[in-house]
Amino acid sequence: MAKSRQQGSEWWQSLSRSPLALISAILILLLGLAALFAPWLSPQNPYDLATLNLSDAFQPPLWLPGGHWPYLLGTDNLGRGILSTILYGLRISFVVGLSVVLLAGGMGIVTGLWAGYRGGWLDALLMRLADTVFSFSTTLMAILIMGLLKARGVGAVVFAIAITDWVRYARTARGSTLTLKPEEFVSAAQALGAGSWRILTRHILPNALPPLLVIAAVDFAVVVILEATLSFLGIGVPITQPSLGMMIAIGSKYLYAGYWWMIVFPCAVLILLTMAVNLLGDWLRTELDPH
Amino acid sequence: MAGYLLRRLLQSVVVLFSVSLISFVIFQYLGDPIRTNYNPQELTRQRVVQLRRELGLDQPFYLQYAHWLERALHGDFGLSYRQRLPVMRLILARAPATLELATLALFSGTLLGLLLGIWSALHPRSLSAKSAIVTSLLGISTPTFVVGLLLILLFSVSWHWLPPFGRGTTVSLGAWRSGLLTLSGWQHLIMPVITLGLFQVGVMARLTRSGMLEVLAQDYVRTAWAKGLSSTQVVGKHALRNVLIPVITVLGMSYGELIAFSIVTESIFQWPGLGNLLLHAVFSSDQPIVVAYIVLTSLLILSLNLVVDLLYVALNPRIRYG
Repeated sequence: MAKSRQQGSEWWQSLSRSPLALISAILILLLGLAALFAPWLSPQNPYDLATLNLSDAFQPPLWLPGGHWPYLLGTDNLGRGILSTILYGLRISFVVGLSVVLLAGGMGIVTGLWAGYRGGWLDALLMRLADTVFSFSTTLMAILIMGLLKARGVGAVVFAIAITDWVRYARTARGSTLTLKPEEFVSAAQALGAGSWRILTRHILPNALPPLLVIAAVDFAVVVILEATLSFLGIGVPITQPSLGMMIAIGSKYLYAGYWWMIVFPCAVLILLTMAVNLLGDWLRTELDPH
Repeated sequence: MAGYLLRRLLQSVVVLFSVSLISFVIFQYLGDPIRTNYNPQELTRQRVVQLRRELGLDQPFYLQYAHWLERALHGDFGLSYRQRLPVMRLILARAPATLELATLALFSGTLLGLLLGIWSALHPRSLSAKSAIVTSLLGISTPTFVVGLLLILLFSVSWHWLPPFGRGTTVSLGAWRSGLLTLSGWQHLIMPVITLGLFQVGVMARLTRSGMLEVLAQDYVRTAWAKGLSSTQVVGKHALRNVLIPVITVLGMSYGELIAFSIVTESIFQWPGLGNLLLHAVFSSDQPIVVAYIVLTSLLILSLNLVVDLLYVALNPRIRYG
């Protein structure tokens, strides 16, 4: 307990020394809170078709002539406020990002630890699978899977990404296990009669965690981009639940009509979020890996 | 070496076989192609039976797959449900557009990324190096479709500098329709190439920079400087060679990403390539095209991986495959 508190304060000191990482962390926190409290923060519920007013379609942002309250950032083709839709869209980004990281991370870490510790055919199969997934890339696989599946929605997107993404975690967990297995503290635990499961969770996993955390951070950004990309292509979330990617897809149909706010604001939020996560990931990498 | 190659070939065949089987199975259970592709009013009972027989849909599943596999091995992927034309002909007609776009994006993106990475490693404190780092961070953080749309918004909608859609004027060289021989072709290529290549620039610049910083701190590089070699020789001959190995690994793994993002890029710029063919086929349940696309893409990726493995040996004589 004391150790973890001490480590926490060290992290905090290091974070406050790196202004870019600190700003990123605050930005991610703010965007996360905005997503969490979207129903209370947003002036309008963009999913409730009954409250939408088609005569409010294509309103410009508040500060331009013609803009009016409550449409701070203007409206889209259905009269949905851009700000409200962005806040609700952020929820989808966070839900998909976190679900995939937890699901793929959990599955990958368990498989990777087991494969690295036991070796054998499971290990060989895992490595071949990893080679294949890496050469095809999670992005391509997710596009093709969503193309083959006819299901649309958050659950389908999470499935299509996580089903290949876990290999990323498995490979790293396996590598760490292989280097930790010959260490003395593992042999000591074995000599004391600890079971495989206990050795893996109590002794190997805590030491294998740092590189996995870095991967999880980078992966979150990748998944958020991937969800937006799938939705932009029309094979992600349904049109009634616009995520940031879907908003941009709708806006791109009106590129020449001059309704730039339909594209520029969701794009900006998407870039801010992924860039902040990538910056925090970079900081985490230098923090955890002195190499 | 020969044993290793044989093992890799065998592995590739297994992957290809599973990929084709899985995509065939999944598509089999999704949507009746006849109902999605034909006007329901024209579909009498007899017409449906006749169409099912024509398209081979009345046979049991394993026979359909076996027939498909046998013909696929001869380069025949059947007829498109929607366009009623040989799938292979459709794919070959679209391939040049995609290959020209992807090759240009890959080469210019990799080259620019390498140069940015080397530059920012050699002059870590300069302003240009810092802006290169920011550029590469933007490159990996900005989704491809956002890059493309913002480019269109600026250069086509606001300033009217560049054409936003299509390939422009193309010239036929036998079966190959090329956009590289006309001014309009190049004008149409600029924005799609930037869109597709920016991610590559970001990945390569970050990788080269960190690799270069590591190598430059090593003794043998210091010795090379101490001998009085020119910076071209130190960097180009001694340092870069060791940086290139991880770069080639990532390059080998980025074909999948490149193909994925070419689908996105083609959809934004209405580029008449394979990615757009795939997307239209997905939306209209045109099974033969989707399966052919997946199988041919897998074939391409697996053979490129083999080439990358061989490149390793050429770059680092210490690597020998047993």
